Amino acid sequence: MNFTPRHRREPMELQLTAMIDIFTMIVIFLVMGTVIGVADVSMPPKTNLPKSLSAEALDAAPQVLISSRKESSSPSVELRALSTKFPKSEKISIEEFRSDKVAQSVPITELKSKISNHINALTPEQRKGGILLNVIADEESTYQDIYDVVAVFRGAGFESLLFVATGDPKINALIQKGQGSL
Amino acid sequence: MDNLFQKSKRRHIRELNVVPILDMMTTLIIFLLQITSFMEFTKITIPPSSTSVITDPVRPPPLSPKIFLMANEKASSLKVQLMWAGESSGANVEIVKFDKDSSKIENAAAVLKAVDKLVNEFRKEFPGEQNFQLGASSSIPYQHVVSAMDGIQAAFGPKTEKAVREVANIVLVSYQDVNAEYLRSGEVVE
Repeated sequence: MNFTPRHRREPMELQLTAMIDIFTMIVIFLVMGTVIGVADVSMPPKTNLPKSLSAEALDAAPQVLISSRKESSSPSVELRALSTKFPKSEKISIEEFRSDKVAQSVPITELKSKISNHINALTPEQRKGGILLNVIADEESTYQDIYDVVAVFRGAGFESLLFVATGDPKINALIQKGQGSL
Repeated sequence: MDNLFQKSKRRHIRELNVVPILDMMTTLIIFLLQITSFMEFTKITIPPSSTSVITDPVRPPPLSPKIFLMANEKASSLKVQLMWAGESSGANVEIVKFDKDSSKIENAAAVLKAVDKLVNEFRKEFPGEQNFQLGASSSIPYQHVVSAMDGIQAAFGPKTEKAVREVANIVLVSYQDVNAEYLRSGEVVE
């Protein structure tokens, strides 16, 4: 006969310490990696951003949206701002931005003066990182459209233009496949 | 005396109530996962163009290299030309041919590679040059321009963790100048 005392079965306990450790690490990782607000990119409908090799993160800056040709026969341009302080424009036809029309165009003159007034009112602290502008356009927009719009905004006082694209690792893979210098 | 022999009360070990902490952490993780963008969008910066005054007579004048992407509307190939001024002025050309079956990504990679090759060759000869002018014919799609910008940046080496990294300054050139150069060169790509 076996008289050895039977081991009491202890109730199973969840190891909470290890779980909390992992959770804390996940929270720290996510807090560090999160870019709140910057990724607020508003895109015109039916717009496909161009693909890029660049891995730079997006900066918080006003956005100029150049609507695609697919959407309508006459593309338009719209300035959208992240803050309410920045002037917001109505949609302006891209034809107004053409070099032969731009000098006489009333909407462009109004837009330029709004932007200039706003930029002049900025404090040196606000100008520290430069006066940036995000350019958002469809991959099939022509260089003529892009250049004409960008030239006007550059002339209005924006110092650096940031061309927004979608990072695509496939480009790098394709280049690596060939015998390029990259 | 009664008090002296009274049994002292056992002090209970207080346990931390971890359940609400776990609840909060889980909610926080779900919230952060929802708002995290994980670098979906990227950007290419075009710094401000500036005029430079040469004060040092020993320093050679700027070469002002220009990269032009030239083609007619609906052309199946693209002429990429890099030209520079100065004492030993010159130009290099690459023709990028697009297959009918090739995808947009493959075309983008082809343009990027051609520009990268031209800029690399140029930088071997003139390693100090960092300012590049970029222009395209009026009908060239925006994707090719972005790929060309990528190609210029790529020729300056892969992005590393180094604090100081050479970065190309890219200045956009009018399409009218590019169209004029395309007509002047007389080499039409189909």
